[in-house]
Amino acid sequence: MNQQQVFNTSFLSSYTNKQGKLIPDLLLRSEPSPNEMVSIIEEFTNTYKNFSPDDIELREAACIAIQLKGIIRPIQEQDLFAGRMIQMPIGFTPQSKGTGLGYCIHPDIDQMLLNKPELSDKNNGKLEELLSFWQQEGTVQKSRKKMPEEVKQIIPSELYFLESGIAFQLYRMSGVQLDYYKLIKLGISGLLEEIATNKSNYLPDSKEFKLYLGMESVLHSFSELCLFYAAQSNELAVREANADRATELAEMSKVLENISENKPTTFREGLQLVYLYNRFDGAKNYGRMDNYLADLYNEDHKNGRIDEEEAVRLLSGIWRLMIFRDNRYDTRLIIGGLGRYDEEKADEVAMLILETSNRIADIVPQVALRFHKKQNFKLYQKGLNVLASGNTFPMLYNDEVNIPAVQKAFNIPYQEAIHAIQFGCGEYVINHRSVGTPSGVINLLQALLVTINRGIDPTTGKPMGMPLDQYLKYRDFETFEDLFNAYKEQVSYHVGPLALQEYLEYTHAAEDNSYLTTSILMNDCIKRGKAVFDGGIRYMGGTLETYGNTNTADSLTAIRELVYKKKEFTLDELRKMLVADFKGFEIERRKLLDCSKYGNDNDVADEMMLEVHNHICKVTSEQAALIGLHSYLVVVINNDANTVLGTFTSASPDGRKVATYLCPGNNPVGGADKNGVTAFLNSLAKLDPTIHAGSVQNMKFSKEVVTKHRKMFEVLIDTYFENGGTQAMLTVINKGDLEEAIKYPSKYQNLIVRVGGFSERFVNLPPETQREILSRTLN
Amino acid sequence: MNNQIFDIQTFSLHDGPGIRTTVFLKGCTLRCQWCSNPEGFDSKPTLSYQLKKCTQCLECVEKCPTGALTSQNGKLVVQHKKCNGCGECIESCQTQALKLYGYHADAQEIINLVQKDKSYFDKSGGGITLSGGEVMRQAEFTREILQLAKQAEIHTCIETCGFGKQDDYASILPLVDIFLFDYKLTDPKEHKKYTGQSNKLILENLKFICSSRAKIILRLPVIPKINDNIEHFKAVIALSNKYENIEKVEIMPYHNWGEHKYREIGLSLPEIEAESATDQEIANWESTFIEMGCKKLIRH
Repeated sequence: MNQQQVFNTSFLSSYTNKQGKLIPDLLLRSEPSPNEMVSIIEEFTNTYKNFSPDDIELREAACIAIQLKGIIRPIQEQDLFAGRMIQMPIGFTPQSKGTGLGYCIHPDIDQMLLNKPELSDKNNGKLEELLSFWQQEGTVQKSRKKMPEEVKQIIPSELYFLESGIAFQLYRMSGVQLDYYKLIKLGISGLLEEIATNKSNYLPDSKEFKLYLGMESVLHSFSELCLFYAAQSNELAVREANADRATELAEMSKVLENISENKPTTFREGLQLVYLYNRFDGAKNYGRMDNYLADLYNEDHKNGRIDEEEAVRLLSGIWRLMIFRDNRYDTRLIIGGLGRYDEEKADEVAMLILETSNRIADIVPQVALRFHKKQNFKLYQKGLNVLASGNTFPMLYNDEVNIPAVQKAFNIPYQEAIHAIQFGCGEYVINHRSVGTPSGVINLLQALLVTINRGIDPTTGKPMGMPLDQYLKYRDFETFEDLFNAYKEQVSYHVGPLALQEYLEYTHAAEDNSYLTTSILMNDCIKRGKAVFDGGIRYMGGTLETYGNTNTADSLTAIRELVYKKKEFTLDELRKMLVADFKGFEIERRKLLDCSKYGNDNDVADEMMLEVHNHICKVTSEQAALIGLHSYLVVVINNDANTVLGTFTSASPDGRKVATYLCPGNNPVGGADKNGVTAFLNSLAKLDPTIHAGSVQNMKFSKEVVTKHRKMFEVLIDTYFENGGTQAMLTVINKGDLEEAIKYPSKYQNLIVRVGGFSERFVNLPPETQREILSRTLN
Repeated sequence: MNNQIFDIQTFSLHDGPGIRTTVFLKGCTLRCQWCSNPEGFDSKPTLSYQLKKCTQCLECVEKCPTGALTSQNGKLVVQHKKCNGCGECIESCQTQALKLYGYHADAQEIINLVQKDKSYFDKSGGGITLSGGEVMRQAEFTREILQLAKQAEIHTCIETCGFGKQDDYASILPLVDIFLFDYKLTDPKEHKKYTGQSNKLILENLKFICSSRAKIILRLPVIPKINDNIEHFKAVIALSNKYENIEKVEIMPYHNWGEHKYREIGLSLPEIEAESATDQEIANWESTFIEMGCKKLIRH
């Protein structure tokens, strides 16, 4: 297919008759039938095959145009915006569910398509062929094949959720934060203009020219998408009996028609454009929403076109779509902080965003509130009020500490660091200027356990990790330093290949795809004429997810104390205890549990944590220069991987039993923070934030503290931030926690039950008293 | 026994202004029947036993030098009165069914620990509070801690029931920023009945402290049916009006959240049969105080 033919592939043409008129029934169809879906995938695959691998840009544009009719889903009854789209069972998406990096098979293809009874025999056969094809041609599959032996040998598995291991590979792209501000400022026509201008600097057979062509093509597809939804909502309006809803749908249609070409001029148009582009690209995070909507809201509000209630109503419409989409580990939305164009205007939108989240309290969007010393205090206060009502969000991010930390960690100037925002589970990226996909997982506790067992995985009994000859210099672990240094070498052994895998994954991805929709809105792709992973992105970074950090530090503290200092038992005896999961060794387990633990402002335990933290962060960040990434940094984040990894990790010297969850994020192991919340905060603030790319700190409080003692609560959190605290994810105990806290009081050890002159910990109270206290505090 | 404490509690919000760290000293001169910290009564370490955690392994029996722990029919028998607080049994208990309240601590150790939260004190107007038990049971220890606190520029509060030697109060007066002075009952007979001591010395000490420039918050444990009567309230208000130094009056509503501790340390439950004060009762008491002209009441 030549370049001209690319533009002849029109998505809208599937919905028009021979005279070019849109067919209403087709417009309103809910989704392709399974047989139709197979046809679309077939057409998609044939399109793919028609292009040479030299024309990946055009190939991608054509494939995106073809698959569009497979991914769109109709506007529903309550929707205020268009944008219900799914990921193809087989298709192209930059950010797939599960493993995927461009051309990919959806992990849920079984439920989506394979077992549908409606499928004809012929289509079943075709589907099998198509699957065979893409199991070889998928972007991830291609990358896997090209991975060097070193990587395959040292990091053999991707299945962190199915088996034990020290390190795992991950193939995906995540954490893309697009330049929604630019999207709104320029609109589709503005972007096309910019691309055309740049394109004119290159010869037609150059790679740059092809990239710009590809970009123009996908933007045309996007325009058609807008027009499609405009026609659909118009058709729905015509058929709608309810007058109000008909008006709403007509308004939606007008909005969609406008943004198909022009830059948005209203708040509603801005929201629609951003949301629809986000879905078209497949991105999962929403950038600095207060920043990019600030001007539009301000104009509308000034001119009496919108009031606060209407703005919240519209935002709620977007929230509901986000909730339906349910990317619970992403859907990050950042408000507040330095680096916004007009803080005052942006603050107005930020307040509305908080109000919307207050009313629609759900697990998404994950609103993060950045704050700095000179920021309008009302935003922070509102954030705390929303939290006090029992909401999980906003998460608080302290610019005063984080911006200098990002400057150092990413080695970028202040003017760039102010654009650092979070994605996914808490990792930093520099807004639309960097990428930082976590492409690897390392279980530090497993690294320690395998080291203690001199190269044997205690979970399976099989060899694991660095080869035996690397243990020789550590003798028989005569001293603690021998063991600790062996652990450090075990970690380094894995980090090198992990970094290489990240770098190569990007390289392979760039060889296969241009990620056109992403590249359009990431600096500096259009300017340089290069796709995002092909030299276009300003800062090509990577991240490494670390788990079991606290368990590892606490385990080392306990080993040093009981095996080497007090000599209460030998290392060999410890091995036996762990294998037995402490059965018959309850007293010894008690001693291990009683050793100092991180999170109690105890110097011994905290210094060990610092050493473990500093080691993994430094070893990781050093890789960037070696392999050619701008940065390669540790992230210590919070998702359910800590639970999953824990199930495959044997008992550990910190007293943890087999299969128990690993510590979440940067936190002490649940229940280990015995010395109170101030000690916990003091411990947290000790960790150096300048050497990694994000961590999460969870804190639970009773409602009483956050409402009745609001002033003191604020002082507590303020002091924590002043002492160097980076972030706080504050949750107020709610009804759901009530029974949990009674069943597992050790997880809520720090729950503050404060009455004058009364000495007791929540965990020690009888259940009836716990219940009484908690139900009081829930009021 | 000296230098005995039984708890250090951070982020205390009800033991003086701001965010505080409360240090609970062991040993008390009274035996109030509504006390929520009975583990603080005895000056020496107090053994606690939780039956529901016990696996009846009986490992502790052989460790006990005094025969406080014996077995009968395969079950552990705990005789708290025989316990000398040595703590030999604690380590042998796999499930922490046995616990010891009370441990030795240096004044300097305590201050080192307390100082870790100094940034929170400074921002909130908080500091250290000494409570218990009764701090004046270990007057020298109390004085030592307060001295070091002052040197470290930490705001100081002590909670006291007022039953101690006047000389001891004199020695700590310059070191205390705020006294949290507990006032329990007015009628001397009732006072003796419910606390084990007369209130004569207490009132004398209150007068003595008030004659200095010390700041006082009068703290009133109010227990339904025991002391929630008009006569007592009247007397409290009169006291608070009489002494200018009494800056505030604070009602401490009775709660029975410490009741489980009585059982665990082998004490019979207090004779008073009181339920935790309800929100309505508390509101009524506060209204009564206001109506009776108390201008210094801290409202909850």
